[in-house]
Amino acid sequence: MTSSFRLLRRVVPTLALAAGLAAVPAVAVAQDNIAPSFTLRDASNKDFSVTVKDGQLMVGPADNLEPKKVVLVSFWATWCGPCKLEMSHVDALDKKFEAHGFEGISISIDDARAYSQARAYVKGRKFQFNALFDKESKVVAMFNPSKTLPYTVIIDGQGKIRNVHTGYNPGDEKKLEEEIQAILDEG
Amino acid sequence: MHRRAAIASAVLLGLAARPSHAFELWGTGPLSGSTVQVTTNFDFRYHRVPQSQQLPDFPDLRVKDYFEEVFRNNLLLTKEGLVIGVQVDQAAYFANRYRLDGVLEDERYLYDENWQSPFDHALVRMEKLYLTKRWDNVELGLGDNYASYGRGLALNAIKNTAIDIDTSIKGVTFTASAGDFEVSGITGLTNTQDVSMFNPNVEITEDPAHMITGMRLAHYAVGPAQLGLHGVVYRFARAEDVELPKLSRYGDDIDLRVVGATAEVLGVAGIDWYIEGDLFDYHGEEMIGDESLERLTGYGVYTSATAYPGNATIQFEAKRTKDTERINTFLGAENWEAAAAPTLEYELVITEDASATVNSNDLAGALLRVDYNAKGGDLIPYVSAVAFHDADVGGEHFNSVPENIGHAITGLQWFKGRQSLQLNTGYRIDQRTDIDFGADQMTHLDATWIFPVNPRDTFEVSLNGRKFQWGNNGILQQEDFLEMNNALAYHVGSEWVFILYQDFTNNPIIQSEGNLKFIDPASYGQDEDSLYGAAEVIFHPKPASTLRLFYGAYKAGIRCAGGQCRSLPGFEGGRVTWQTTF
Repeated sequence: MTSSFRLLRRVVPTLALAAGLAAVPAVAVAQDNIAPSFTLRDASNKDFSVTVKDGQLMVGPADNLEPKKVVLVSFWATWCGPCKLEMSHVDALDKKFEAHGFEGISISIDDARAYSQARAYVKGRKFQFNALFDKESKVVAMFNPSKTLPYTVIIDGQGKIRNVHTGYNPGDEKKLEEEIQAILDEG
Repeated sequence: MHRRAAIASAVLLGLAARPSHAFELWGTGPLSGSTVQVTTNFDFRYHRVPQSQQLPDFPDLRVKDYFEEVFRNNLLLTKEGLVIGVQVDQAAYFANRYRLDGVLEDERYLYDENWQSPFDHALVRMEKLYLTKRWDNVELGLGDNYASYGRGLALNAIKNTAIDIDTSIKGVTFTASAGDFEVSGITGLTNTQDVSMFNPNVEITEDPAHMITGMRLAHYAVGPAQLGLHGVVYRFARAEDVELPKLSRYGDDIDLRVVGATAEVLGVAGIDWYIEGDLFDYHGEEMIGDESLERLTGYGVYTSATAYPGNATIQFEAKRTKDTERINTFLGAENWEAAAAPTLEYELVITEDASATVNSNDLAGALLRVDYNAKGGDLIPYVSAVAFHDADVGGEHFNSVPENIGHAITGLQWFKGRQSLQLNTGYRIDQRTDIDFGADQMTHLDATWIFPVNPRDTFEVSLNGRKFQWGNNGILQQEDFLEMNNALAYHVGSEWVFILYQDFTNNPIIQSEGNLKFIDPASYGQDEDSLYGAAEVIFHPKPASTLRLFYGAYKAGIRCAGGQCRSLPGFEGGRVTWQTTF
């Protein structure tokens, strides 16, 4: 093998990687991408949908969808400590803004084996927000393929993802509240 | 060589961190108006190889340090009712060579020699590709899909990235509903995620591609009950099948059939009830493990009941499984499980010993847990107790006679403003039915305390320890051990976190060495390699982006999530991790 060919084989992976990195952002949509529609079952085993129809975000049971101005979707799991901290704040936000077109939704990514425990946790805590269960990883695979937790998505009334929060640090709930309020203020 | 790799990594990071350019897809085709979301994960690792590791045939030459880079892009195209997803993984080695007698040699190989890649030290894979189209009552999926039936006893092919497992079923899936009825099906070949984001990538091999086909019928309104029926067939690939066309799996004899039924009743007498039964019909001789038998039957039953009296939550779970774990006979080397019953275990403290119970082929057990919401839900103490009878003495079990297992845990969650405490502590005992064999015992404690230090910042103390004592295991006897994972973290607002980690283990099974000097008084003052230290800085430049800088070491160990356990390797060195969604 010639030395130049050896050098080429060493350099090509780096160049390929750099080219890939450089190319990726060219097809990306920053923050304003449309949220994927989905339907999951809630703690009562009823279908609950989040969908965008004719440019309007619709949320609720499949046969009774309602338009919403802001939806917060928070992914969590029973083994995730920071998620449990954040869930209390999501519940508080749901209570504060529910009369203004806001909907708080939690999605458990626990798999089927932990489903009984996940449902017992949200029902036992008597949370007001809608608790959904993604036992087959279908929705989390669309929103958050790396499954970093907690993972919180804020969607506006047109169905656009306005912000994404990965992880939870004490005080993040203030940022969430400000972002929700800002979208509501847009009218 | 190190300098060259460092420069390359700096260039790559710079590219990765640049802002995105946004636009919608244009044109008049079927994808016009679609929007695209990209999630990027980039990890650059400096692997520091312990001094004690020598080249196998050259005791004077130690294995050298090397660099590894992993890059994952998930691209999601969305239009009303339509989702197209792609995951492209790329991995590469740097500084992975040494010169011996004037000849340049590879220190380790990124992928198996049968793999096709134009590069010696890099690999690019389109790992996942799927399309999902949803109409009013029908959903159709092509490509990589996941499926789970009941509580996972018959089929549980899901993403389990908590322990770096993502095996999908590449094929076709559908769900159709009419009134209160729903039918769903899936068929395809397993597609294991080849490139790991968190663990060293070494000699990546081609997927064996097992065939899985399943169907489920559910009726959601039989009075207050929901009823379900499901069936799954499996045909697992053998080593000799790798050379054959993958679709040949459909033409061969079935290894296993599973049929099951589920019933769920919510809120009757204030209790949520669930029960599931599954029958396993094995034909594959490797799964039966007895040449005199042509088939073997197994079964699994799982039930749960949860009540919410006043401020309390009372949960009962029970299971009986016989020869259900044989379903995973072929999957041990692939580090994933196609199906498994709920563990009923506290997975954070599962050891090699408890893992044997989780994977038992003859197990009966029950769990009772009581939580209490005090102070409006700000304080939640709980107690739980688990009891098992494990009659499996084969496989990787550490017992030659059946054993009775008890595990009691208590703990609490407490929230007050920006302050919180999460605490769990317990005691587990595996008592052999023959008292001469003694009992394995474990005590454990984990706690996370977060408290504010000023209006902006918080401090976090995280402690996690377990002490394990073996009974009498004959030839499998191991030494008692202590393990700890501790951390101190300072959160500067929401943007910065500074963390110090400290691990300790003297578990003789662990295959890793600590990077800190530890003088063990129990070993007459000898130096031990059981202490690990590391530091990390986490920066969130924006809420959807995370940059992590890590240097140090952490221990190897078994880790479980969602009922699957995996032995994770230790690590020493540095790593730069970048994750963003845009």
